[in-house]
Amino acid sequence: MAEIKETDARFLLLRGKVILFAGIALAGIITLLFLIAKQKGLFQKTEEVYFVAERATGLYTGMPVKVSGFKIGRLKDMKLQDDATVRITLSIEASQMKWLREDSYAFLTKEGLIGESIIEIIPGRGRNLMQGERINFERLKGIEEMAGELKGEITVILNEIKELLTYINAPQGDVKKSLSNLQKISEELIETTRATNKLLEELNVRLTSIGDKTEGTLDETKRRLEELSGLINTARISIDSLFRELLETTKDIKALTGQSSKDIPQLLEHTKRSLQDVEEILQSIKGIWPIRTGIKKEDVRPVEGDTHER
Amino acid sequence: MRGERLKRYKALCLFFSFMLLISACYRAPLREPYRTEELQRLLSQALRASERGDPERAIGMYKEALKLSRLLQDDRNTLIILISLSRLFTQRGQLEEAKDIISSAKALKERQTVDLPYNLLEELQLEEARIEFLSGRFKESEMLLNNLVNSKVLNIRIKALNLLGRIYLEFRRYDEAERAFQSSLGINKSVSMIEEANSHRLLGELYTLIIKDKPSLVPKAEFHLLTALSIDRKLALPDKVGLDMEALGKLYREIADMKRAREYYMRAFEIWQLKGDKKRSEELKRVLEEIEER
Repeated sequence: MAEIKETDARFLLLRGKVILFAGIALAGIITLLFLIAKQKGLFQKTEEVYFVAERATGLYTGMPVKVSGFKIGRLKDMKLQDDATVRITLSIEASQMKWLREDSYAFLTKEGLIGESIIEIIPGRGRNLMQGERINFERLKGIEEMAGELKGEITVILNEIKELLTYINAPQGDVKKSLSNLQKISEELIETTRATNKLLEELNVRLTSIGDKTEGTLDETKRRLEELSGLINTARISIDSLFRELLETTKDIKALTGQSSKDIPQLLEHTKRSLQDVEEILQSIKGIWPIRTGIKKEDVRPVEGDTHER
Repeated sequence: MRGERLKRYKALCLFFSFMLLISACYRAPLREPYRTEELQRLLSQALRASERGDPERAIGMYKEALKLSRLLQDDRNTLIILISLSRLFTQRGQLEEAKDIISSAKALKERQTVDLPYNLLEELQLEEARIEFLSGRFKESEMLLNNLVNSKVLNIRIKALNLLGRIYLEFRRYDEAERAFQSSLGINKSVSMIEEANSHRLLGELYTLIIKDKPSLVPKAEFHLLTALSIDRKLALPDKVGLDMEALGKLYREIADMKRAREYYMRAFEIWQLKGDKKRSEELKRVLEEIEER
């Protein structure tokens, strides 16, 4: 082997060149790894705080922790405790610990309506939190929960309207019964009026021949008058019963109106609140990326001032 | 050979150093925090509530927005919120609250860290002048308004002229007041119908004040007041219609047309009663009793 001479200039110091090349590549890779690690915050000094949640739904390790939209840390660890609650440990950059105060709140929320889940810190007042201390925690309502609530409210309103309509339409219900009673009474009244008219007509015919058959007809007239009196009594009884029925019907209608008048303001209030919720949801939906691009952004301006107020 | 190789290594080292430098300097662009969008949404909803005539809801939403804008240190929106709150408070007759709000707006303007748009600064100045006027400090208000009568923003110029005219009315400088109201009407070509009605009403009130010396002004006064009434009816603003009715009642009373005076006063009285304005309805009740006695 020693007899083979390397005469080609390109192979001179080949080992040194290979080592140098590999060394530069290695240095590059190490630098790259270092930079990535630095960007990921591996060399950043962090401190830990924790909170206790009833359940870990929606939380995951590595979840960003933000203040006013800026990332200041991440969710480091989740542990199920003996009382079935979950202890969540947050790792916060030491330089950002100033935002965490005694009455600060950590909220589980979403960036926008359908954005990424994050833990949002609302800075409070009071003394700064130290390593290992506990922070307050709340869960904010997501769109699913809001929609669920809205659905509940609308269902209640619809049920109430349905009940009201069922009550009015029930064949054996007060309203239908009252209306059918009214119809029956008016039919009876028409019959009574017809009978009275007939009797009066007959009486009229008899009266024309009264001069000829005075004596004979006196008894007849008396009888007829008795019949008439009976009919009038019947009519009076019918009219009395008609008034009673009318009175009852009026009472029914009054009670029904009273009941409805109690329900209507509630219904209106429910509807108003639901419409406000719907408006807020629509506003949120308008803010979602693909939709918001098609909507002209409103110019924010102050309320108009008046120069001649009352 | 060696020198060439050295040169190559040097270039390589320089390239790496350069890349390292760029990497150290680079920072990823920050995404606009979603809270900013939330603030914009709150502001539009509050404005819509105030335009729908629901100041309670509008004030509540502006207060929420104020917390958020202060948290975000958004001076522009904070100023918009403070001006709006001041206007909503004066609408409800809460002058002291409005004064506090405007003081904090002025303090914000003093310590502003970024340049605020000039039209917003003019809005603030107009609001300051309005508060001074409502507090009876007419001189201070006049000084502020004198800067605004040449504003580039027409809406602000119109309002400044109307307010200035009202100050001249207070000082009994009737000619200057008339000029101010007429100039306001002259530049108000469909800029603000509310302010157009205000100018007509104020002109009508001005002529009513001097009608005894110049009886020939009666048709002019009547024309301006009826024009204001027709605009306010179109805009469906009961408060303004009440003011127009009252001004018309006053005009007819001045010219001793008691029948029409009573009619207009009565309608104004009904409006103030419906609006729950006890002070005004009591005043009009007294006036109506006086007319009845005659």
